Amino acid sequence: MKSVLTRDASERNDRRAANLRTAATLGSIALLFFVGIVAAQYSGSATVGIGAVGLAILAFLAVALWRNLRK
Amino acid sequence: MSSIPHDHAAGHDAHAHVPSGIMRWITTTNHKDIGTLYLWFSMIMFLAGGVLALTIRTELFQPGLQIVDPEFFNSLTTLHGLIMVFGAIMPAAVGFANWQIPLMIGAPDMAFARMNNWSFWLLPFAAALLIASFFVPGGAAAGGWTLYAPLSVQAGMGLDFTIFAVHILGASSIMGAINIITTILNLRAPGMTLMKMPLFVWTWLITAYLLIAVMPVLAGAVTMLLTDRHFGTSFFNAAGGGDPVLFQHIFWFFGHPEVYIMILPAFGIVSTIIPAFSRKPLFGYASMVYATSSIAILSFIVWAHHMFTVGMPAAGQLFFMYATMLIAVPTGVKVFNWVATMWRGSLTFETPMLFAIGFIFLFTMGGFTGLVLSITPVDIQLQDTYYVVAHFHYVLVAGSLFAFFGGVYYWLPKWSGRMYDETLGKWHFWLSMIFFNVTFFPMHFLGLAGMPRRIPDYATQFTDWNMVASIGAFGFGLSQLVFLYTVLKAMRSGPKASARPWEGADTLEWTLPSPAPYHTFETPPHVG
Repeated sequence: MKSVLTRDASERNDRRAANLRTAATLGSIALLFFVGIVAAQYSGSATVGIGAVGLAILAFLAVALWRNLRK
Repeated sequence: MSSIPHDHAAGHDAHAHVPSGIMRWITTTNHKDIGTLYLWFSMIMFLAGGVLALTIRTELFQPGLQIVDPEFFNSLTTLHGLIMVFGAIMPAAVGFANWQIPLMIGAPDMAFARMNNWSFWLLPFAAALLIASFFVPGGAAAGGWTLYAPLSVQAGMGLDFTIFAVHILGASSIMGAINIITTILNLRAPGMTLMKMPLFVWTWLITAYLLIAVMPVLAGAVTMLLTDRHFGTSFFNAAGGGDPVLFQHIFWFFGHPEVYIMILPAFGIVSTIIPAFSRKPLFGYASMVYATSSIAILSFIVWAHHMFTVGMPAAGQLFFMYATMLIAVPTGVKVFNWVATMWRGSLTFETPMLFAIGFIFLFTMGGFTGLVLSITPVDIQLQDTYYVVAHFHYVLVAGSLFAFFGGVYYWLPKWSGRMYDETLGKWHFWLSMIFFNVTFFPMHFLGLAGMPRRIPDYATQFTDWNMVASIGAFGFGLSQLVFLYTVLKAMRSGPKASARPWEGADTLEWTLPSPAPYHTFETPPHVG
């Protein structure tokens, strides 16, 4: 059986990892919007913007699937 | 909404070591300290933006040029808008979030305490850049807070200062939003499901998502502006193949959700105050959550109602007109629910409640003028007139600001451990209420009569109402000194506050002693 201290540390680590995952997801969304809008206007093509968002959605889905399959 | 199962002080150490001195404030990672820093910063910026507003109103007291030249007048209107939006209202809302969200969800602190410190300490540098831009060659930005290209592409060095300030403010906001979402999603006390969260927490969760979605868009717009100015690109310059209207589309894709970023936390505060002083649970809690979400979603599809005069196909005009009108539905749900909460409640009218009721009354008026402006042919007549100035001041001053005043009076006992002077608080409310209307109500008449905004001089037919508005502005400005005095007096010598000074208050923070200990909820409470 785990001691209380070990369990507390383990919970803290789990929570910290969950916080970092949430922050990384949100940060990547912000970065995508920033880069996407500049790239779309720089290329002058609407497909670049749509493509950037579409690829990002696929990437988020792929990461989510991979994480679930790994469990 | 969650209710208090029982009074408890488990997990709080009222005698914990509290750092002191200037280094406490510079290096602090405590959410209460950072909330305090945000609130004082926003107060200072509110006074700075207010001084610019009073200079504008002094110039407009009578026709002709009195005290400032036209170029400087344009800088005043521009910086007044930027300072109030990014320096006063938004940081005040984040200050409330920092203080209240961990206390209301039973979390020990924000999820990323050091990033929280960074989010705040970026702000003074951005504010310094904005204010310093007055003193650089060419003066401060003068094209309005919207920084419209291609005019801004040709502006002086002051605009570069503004662009960098907006970048820094945007980074601060995004970090703050990430922190708030992570805190709410991951650090809620056991038993506090999403649909048990206080509505203030809900409104901030939705606001934080809006921030994540639109601040990068603004950052992208000003980055393109910067490269157009200095690196030879032509995003917005027609001579180089760019599109001058593009900037407006991108700006308002940020700008309209930004309005809700400023008002949704105010909705949350009002939704907390009204049940407390009605001694009833909030009417239609779930519908309030859905209405807030609907407002946020709709805010992404209405941006071009700011651009009806730019020219767009009739189908586009109709779409943006009807989409804008649609926002009145969830907003109406909220107003209905606030009134229904008060209906047959055991009402008392302490200062927070007065500000909340003032908010409902005046914000609804601002909402109705917004509906008037959403009608495309009417908007084309009223575009860039004082009617628009009246509309958004009813929404943002009587809306956001009044709610924030109410929030300060409501939570000050918990923050400082001391009660404010109720008489002074009521003086502050009534003076603000009267002088606000004296200032901004006549602007409807001026706008309907055709007076354009952002001009230092005007036709003599507009003189009388401008004089009334200027007198009201000075009255409103001086009224805020009553607020400052009331808060400082309470903090220095106010009578001690009990743990729960408002008998109708039922959220988690009121289970704590007053003032809230430096460290709270280190052992999470269980919410029933």
